[in-house]
Amino acid sequence: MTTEMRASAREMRHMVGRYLHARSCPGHAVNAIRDAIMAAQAEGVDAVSEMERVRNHYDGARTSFDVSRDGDTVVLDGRGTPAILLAPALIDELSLAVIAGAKCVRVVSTPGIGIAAALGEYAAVRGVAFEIEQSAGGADAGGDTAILTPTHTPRTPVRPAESAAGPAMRRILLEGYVMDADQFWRLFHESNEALTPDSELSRRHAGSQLYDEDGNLLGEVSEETYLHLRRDENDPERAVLA
Amino acid sequence: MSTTPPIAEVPRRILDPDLLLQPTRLQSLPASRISAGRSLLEKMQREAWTFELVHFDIDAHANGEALYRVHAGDGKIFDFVIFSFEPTLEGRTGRITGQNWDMMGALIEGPTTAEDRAITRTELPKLYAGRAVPGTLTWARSNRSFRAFDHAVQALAEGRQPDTRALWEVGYLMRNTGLDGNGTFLTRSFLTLEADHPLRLPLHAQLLSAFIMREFASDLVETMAKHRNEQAVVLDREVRRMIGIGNGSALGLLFFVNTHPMLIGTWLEQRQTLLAEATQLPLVQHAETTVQYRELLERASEFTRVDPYVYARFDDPHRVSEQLDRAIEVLDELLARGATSGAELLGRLDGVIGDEAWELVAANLLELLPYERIVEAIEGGIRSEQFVAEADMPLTELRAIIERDYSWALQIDMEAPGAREYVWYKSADAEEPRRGPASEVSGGRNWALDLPSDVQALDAAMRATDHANVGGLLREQPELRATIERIQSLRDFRYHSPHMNMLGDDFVPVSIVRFMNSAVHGLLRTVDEGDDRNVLGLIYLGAPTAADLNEGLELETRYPQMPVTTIGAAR
Repeated sequence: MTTEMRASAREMRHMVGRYLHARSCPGHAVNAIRDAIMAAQAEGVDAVSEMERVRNHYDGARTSFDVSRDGDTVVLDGRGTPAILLAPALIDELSLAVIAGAKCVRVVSTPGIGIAAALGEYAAVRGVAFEIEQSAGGADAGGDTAILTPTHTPRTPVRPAESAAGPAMRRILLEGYVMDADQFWRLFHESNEALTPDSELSRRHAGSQLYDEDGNLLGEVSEETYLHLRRDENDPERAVLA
Repeated sequence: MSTTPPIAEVPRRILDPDLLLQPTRLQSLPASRISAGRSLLEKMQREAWTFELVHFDIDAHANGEALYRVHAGDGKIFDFVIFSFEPTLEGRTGRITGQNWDMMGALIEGPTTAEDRAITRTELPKLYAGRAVPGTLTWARSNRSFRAFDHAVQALAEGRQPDTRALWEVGYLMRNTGLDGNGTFLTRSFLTLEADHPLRLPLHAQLLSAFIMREFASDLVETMAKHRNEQAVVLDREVRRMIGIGNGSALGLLFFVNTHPMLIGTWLEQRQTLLAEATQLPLVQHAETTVQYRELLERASEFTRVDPYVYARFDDPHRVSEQLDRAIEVLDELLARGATSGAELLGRLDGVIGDEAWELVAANLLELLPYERIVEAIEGGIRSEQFVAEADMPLTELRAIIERDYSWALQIDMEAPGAREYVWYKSADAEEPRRGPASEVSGGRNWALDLPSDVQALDAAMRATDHANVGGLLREQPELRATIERIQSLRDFRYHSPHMNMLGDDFVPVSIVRFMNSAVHGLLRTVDEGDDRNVLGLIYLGAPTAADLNEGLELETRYPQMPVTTIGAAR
């Protein structure tokens, strides 16, 4: 039996971003993909589970589409890359399609493309609105094709005083995400693989250990062990213990 | 004698980002009126906030609970609930990897219920796995300074005041070991604080928590002395006022600066804009504001003169003191000739005194501005820090941003020896930020922000592409996404990123650590430890106490002076 928990937007941002790094998602795309996952989750789609489901696809993944033109349709070929990894590129391409006067955008070979239906606020922040028509099967069944009709829209401000990136994200800022506790903490701990193993040499890199002239460890920084650098009253050049 | 100062331009170093954003310059910016600690204190004083000790039930072993209640000026209430523990040495360090604290506390929008406090007591020790009750703004932790704390308890129990000089040198009874909020542990997101929320400005919730931890430290000392001897005396008000809260900061603040460029950019723009305005105000001999300004420079000179520490990378405070004395002489010379201005004074001192002294002369000009102007300027600092790509932006526009804001990054030779000496990483040991030679680090990822390499790669790609807009370039080279998003999202800011190659062997991290602690947070005595990574400092050293605020006392506590009378035993 699992229990529910609330995680703040900040905690989710932290966990999702680090998880993507830990799974070797291309570094240049981590923040944008993270924000897309958070936006989709805010709009009610279980994007975090999708993030975990495609865990073996991050390393070396492509983060842009092959793009071609078929009359007044732009064709985006994901070459089998999970849609969640291509979400930022998808919104870019919708924006470019509007500029180019394309009537619609056809996405192919992009498993899980149905998740785009939950990227309305994410797109609006980037000045794009769209309607989506999925192929039979839908996102949950792994559908990989969809037709999108993009239009230009005024950019939704991300400044909290103005809109906080849309009503769904604003609600999340106020209330947090309701998550399965086991899943959240499992992913939280897995995301720690992005951290570097501890070692004595590594602890020296924190600069918080003190050694005497012979290299003997005196202690770590704290008022109890720290050789305070205050001047001795009778010898201004001498540092004395606190 | 004229009361109109001669026209003098705002010194270029105040507004020019290329001059301001050098790490060695940023490290010289002192605590000032718009630092978080000072701005909160001024707000509390002007709005007549009061503090109430609702209960303080702590036994002879220091175990127990306390509750402080803050009545903010507009009738809003905040509770700071404290759980106190008997100190043990196991797992105790001054680092974030420590696992043992003498007190834990939570700042909660109040009044809290007994249930709120009971839940908080259960959840706080869990830290990351803990869930704060609704309305919680911060979770805080601190440890005693054994030496100063025990000395003070013993002295009070013996019916005398502690040694003033010893306390002045240490500066604190307890030191901060963690002040977290803004969503961490499910605390309230600062992005959602209402427009009239008393703690809506960046870092004010954390600094209010620190202020109450400071109050608690003195109350705990008195209580422990009382447990030892029913006849124990209490701390003199002047001694309580003198004591701050200790603080140690290190490499984590580099990551903070890199991930909060909008907050930094907004804050620095506010600061430098106010400063530019202040330099144009007249300084006139015998005028009240001018006399006060001159007195502040004298206090700053005395404060630095008696600084008990030796600094490694920062200016020697004794030298700063001498230079401030020189600045006062120059001010007097200018005033004797007639009206002058901060701009003229700073112009005369440019190149004559060091950066730290010059910045103190400048920062104190902020005191000349009306409070309302300060408040107006520092609103709006909270940002979502979300980066957003704009695929339809013409590359010509992106090019213009790079030329305006990143010419420094294009000029750094990243192939030079030592340019990639270090990697920055987070240890699996409590995520502690560390920096080590690349040859000594394996595993995990490099969390450094390498703006020089990133901007240079983008520059090269833009020269080679045939695309006319950002989206086209990203389709061709998706690996530029993070760089482009950052540059686009920060285009309305001028002071967002320090001009640094943090991978380089010549980069000194404490420059940025001190900038944050001193200029932004408002700490005093921000001393580096000679390891280029750690900076110690004091929060609210010499500041008014809660009792001072309750009584509305008007005290001059800027650049605090050690009490004249040596109350305790002479050393």
